[in-house]
Amino acid sequence: MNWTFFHKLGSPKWFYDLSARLQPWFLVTGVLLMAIATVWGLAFAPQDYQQGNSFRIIYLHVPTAILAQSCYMMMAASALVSLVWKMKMADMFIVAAAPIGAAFTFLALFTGAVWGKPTWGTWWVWDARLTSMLVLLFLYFGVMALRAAFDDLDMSSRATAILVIVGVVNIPIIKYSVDWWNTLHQPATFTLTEKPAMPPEMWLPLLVMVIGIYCFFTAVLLVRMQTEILRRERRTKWVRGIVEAEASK
Amino acid sequence: MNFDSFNDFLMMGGHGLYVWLSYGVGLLVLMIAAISPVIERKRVIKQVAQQIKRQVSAPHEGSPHVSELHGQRENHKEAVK
Repeated sequence: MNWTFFHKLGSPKWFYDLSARLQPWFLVTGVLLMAIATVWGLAFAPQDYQQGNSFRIIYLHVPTAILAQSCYMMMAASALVSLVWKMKMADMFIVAAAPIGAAFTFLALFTGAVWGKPTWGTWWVWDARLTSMLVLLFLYFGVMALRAAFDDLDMSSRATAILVIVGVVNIPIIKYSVDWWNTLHQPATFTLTEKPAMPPEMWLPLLVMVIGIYCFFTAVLLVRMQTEILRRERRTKWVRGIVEAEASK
Repeated sequence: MNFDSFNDFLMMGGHGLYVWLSYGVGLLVLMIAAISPVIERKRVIKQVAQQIKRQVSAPHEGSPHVSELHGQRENHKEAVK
């Protein structure tokens, strides 16, 4: 097996240069797709025969919820890499991704609550799906707080990695909560294996939004990782070069 | 277009408040998520630039090993802020 890519990925300089080149594309694509999906979902998609127009909240709710969970899974994979190989980039990924994950989890919870009011008649219930999503939000906060609590970089990266890995238990609970328990929350809108139960003019904007939000996530993540690299590699020559060039602008 | 008039679009069949509240807060959170890292990046660049300036004016400040450790601790204090 060729490990060159993996080794390159571990190099902050290589990553910084690549991300600087890719970031604008992700941002433009993400914002564009999200704008298209929003207009499509809000104005053109047909309304739900049962929920009327409040169902249009799914175009924000489902993509943010998907991302909230997949961001955590990516962090968990990074945590494993960070623990086993002590790869700095993996640790930087966790630091950079946690606040974005928290933002998406918050949005999923918020839009869910606002949707719940007209649909279920309540903003919040202590239902398994909702509660496990709230736990996910607190896991993100926990990672952020733990980062800030340590003085020593090695210690803090190890502690965060362990917390992230332990927290993974929550992910299958979120995913299967709707099957394991009698929840008010409906089962998954989208699955990889089955055809959606909605007509295409309803789920297509949703798909566009999911792709758009992934691009947006990547764009924001890359900026955060760049900042983290600049901070940690400040003693290297190449970072000094970048800093001096940008500071004199 | 699924709506007959712009007013219908705003009303969302009586669910306007919920739909627009969701999208409003969504836009706000995404804007914060997009803008705050850019501000943070500028702040770090300024900070590192100042540090370089200080080092240039006082280059004989301890052995490189010690200053490396010091840098890491500093790193974290900044992260706490």
